[in-house]
This record gives sequence, structure tokens and C-alpha cells, in this order.
Amino acid sequence: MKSGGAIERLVRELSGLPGIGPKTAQRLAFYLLSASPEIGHNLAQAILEARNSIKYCSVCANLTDKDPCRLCDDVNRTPDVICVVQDSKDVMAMEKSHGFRGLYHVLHGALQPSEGIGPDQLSIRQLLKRLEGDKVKEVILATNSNVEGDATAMYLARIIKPLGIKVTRIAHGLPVGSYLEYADQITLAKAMEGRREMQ
Amino acid sequence: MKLYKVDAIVLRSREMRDADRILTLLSRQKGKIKAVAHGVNKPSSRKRGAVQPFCYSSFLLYRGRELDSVNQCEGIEAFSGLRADLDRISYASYLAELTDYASMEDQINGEAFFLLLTILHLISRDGADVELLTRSFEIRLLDIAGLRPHLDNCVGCGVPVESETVGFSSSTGGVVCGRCSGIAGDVKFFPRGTVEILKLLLKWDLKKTERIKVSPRVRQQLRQIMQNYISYHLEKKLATALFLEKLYYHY
Repeated sequence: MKSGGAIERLVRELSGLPGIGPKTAQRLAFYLLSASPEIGHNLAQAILEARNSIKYCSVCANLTDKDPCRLCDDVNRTPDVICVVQDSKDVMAMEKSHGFRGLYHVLHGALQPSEGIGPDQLSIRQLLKRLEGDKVKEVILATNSNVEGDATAMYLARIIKPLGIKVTRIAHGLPVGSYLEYADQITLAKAMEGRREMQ
Repeated sequence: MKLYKVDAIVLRSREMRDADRILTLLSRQKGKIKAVAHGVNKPSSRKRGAVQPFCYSSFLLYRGRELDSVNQCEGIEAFSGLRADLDRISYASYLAELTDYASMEDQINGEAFFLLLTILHLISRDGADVELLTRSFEIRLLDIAGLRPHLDNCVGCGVPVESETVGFSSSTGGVVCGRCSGIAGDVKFFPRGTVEILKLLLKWDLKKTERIKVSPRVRQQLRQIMQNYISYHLEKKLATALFLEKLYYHY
């Protein structure tokens, strides 16, 4: 693209974002320039504000603008159940489901033997500190259902269970609305393993 | 024909862009292949299960200019027992990484393929002696790769080593007798029994490995011999070996 330096820079910066290619970046850049000035200003301001104010919660390690975060500070949540997730995105996904009213802990990754990512690179020490005392009764391991997520869950279960705390793993199985014939064998086996008696 | 079919074990699966993964496959028909699997991180993907690490799957691949891509795939054996235990997952990751490093791309290696397939079957069973099976795999894979250490005769003078204590040098590639112990700076001494077990692991039926009784001390010596030898000859300490060290502090 041959045009002024500022536009070129905007396109370049936008195309560095995940999932945005050069064509999309160009479309976004021209939209921002042709739309009302507030749209661009508000977006720039929101990015700057988020960037400058967001930090890690000292309790759950989630991204937050206040410490402790709103979730950890919420008195209406059950403090004796902690749901352990890999990323802050997973907290948002869980919250959207309205299926959990306890507290969270964000690991910021998963154990990855092939990449050499071990327990020290995750916020496991911080989690163990939260489990000191008798306050927490259950830890729900909600890491991803892949090799890395499973390895992380098993590692955490191995170190948390001796503390006398109940450790559970979220269920795996068929997605809602899916067809049995299209499910792969691991998913089907897991679904069969985790079957429940009908009420 | 741009489409071709292979049966392969997924050695490695790395994230690439949002929902895609780059797979390193060890196939029966074409040896090691790298291929991209598009959209497999999406919940709607039908390929997702078959591209998980350690899965033995049937792939229909499309030959690309730089990288082949997965057109269709179906799991043959998922080794779900591996995913049920941290030790088994960790060791399986190590075996996959070792195979990856010891294999060349597009070079058919049926022996390594069947060895890995057998070992994955064996370690995915409940109560498997994962550590000893790993040692057995290591020495057999080195044998296939043409890197098997000399375990009978001294690498210095060629005389059979029959003393109670045997020297072992990774740099010269095998056992060393007492007189040749100055041959290299990395000679370490082990009881003869440890080297005999290594020989046994190479020849013994893999499925009967658990019948070999090995004390914790000898296990640690076997680990030391094989890890030093592999690091020396691959010129690298594998990330998964370091991970196992971090995880168990005893590897």
C-alpha cells in the first residue's frame, strides 16, 4: 500500500493483531478514518485506558483494573469453591455460562512438556497459597480438554489432594446440539465414561 | 495426485494462528511429515480428536507448495490410557520428542514407527512400568538410528569387558575397560549388572519388559547412562527430558 505514513502505520499496527490480515487491516483503517472522529478517539482511549490500568489480581491472577478483582471481592460468590482455568478468556466464558458462582484462579497457561513449560511458569504457587487454611472445600479443574490441559489437571490433582481438599474435573463429552455420528472416539469414550443416571 | 493417504502417529501438535495447528506426524508409508490442520481448535471441527498428540490416525493429506495440509482424518487408536495419568503423558511426550529428533523428514522408517506404536500401546496400560519401557525404547530407537552404544567390547581396545565394574563413555560410544579408562574425559563407572540389563532391554521381548526386576539404584544408573548418551549424540537436552526432571526431580 502506497499512501501517507500515518495511514500506512495504522494498517501495519492493525495487521499485527491476531486474526487480522493485511486486507482486513486496510478495511478497518479506512473505516476508522471515514467514520465520525469519536469512534476512533473512543477506541484509542479504551485501548490506552485498558493497557495502563489492567494488572493481575493478587488473589486469583485474573486480569483486572482493581485489586482484588470484582469477582474475588463479590460477597455473593461462594468462597469455598475455586475453579482453576488456563486463561482470563476462560473466566469470561465461564461467567457467560452463569453455571458457576464460586471463585476463580487463572494459571496463565498449561504444562507443556514438549515446550519445556513446567509448573514454575504457571501461577500454581499462588494457588497453593490460597488453599492454606480450611476455607477452600473444593477445587474444580477446568483446564482445556487437550493433552496439555489434562496433564495440568492431573499435576494439580496430585499436589492438591494430599491437602485434604476435594478435587474435581469438569465433565467432557458431546457438545450441546451435536450429533453422535460426528463425534470422535475420544469424545465418545469420555462421554460414556462420564454418563449420569437419569433423574 | 495431490491427495495422499497415510497412517501416522501424531508426534507433536503446535498452535499456529487462531484455530490451526501444525502437526509433526510419523507415518508408516512416508516417514516423518509436517502438515497443517486447519480449524482444529474450533469446537465444530471433526478432525479435532484425531490430531491430538500421540493419536494413531488415518490421514488424507493434500500436498502443498511448502506445507501439506490435512484434508480428512480419522482416529484409529487414541491411547486414552495415556491421558489418564500424568506419568504416562509426560513419558509419552518424551518418547514422541525423542522419535521426532531421531527421524528425518520424508525418510521411511517402518521400524521406528512400529516401535513407537508398540510402546504407546504398552505404556497406556494400567500398571505399566513406564520408566523401564522408556529405557527399552531409547536403546532400541538408538539401534534403529545406527547410534547403538557398544556394550560387549571395549571401544578403546576391542577386548570383551568382563570386569565387575565397567566404564561407559558417551563420547566414544560405549563400554570401556579399566586399561582404556583414560581414553575420554567422560568415562563413568557402573556395575557390570547395569550394562547387562541394558543389553537385555535391547533383546528382550518388549511386551515382557516388566518381567525384568530392576532396583531403584540400577534404574537411576540406566537413566544416567541413557540420558548422557542421548544428549551427547543428539547434541541437545530434550525439552521433555528437562520437563520430567522438573516434575519428578529424580529423572
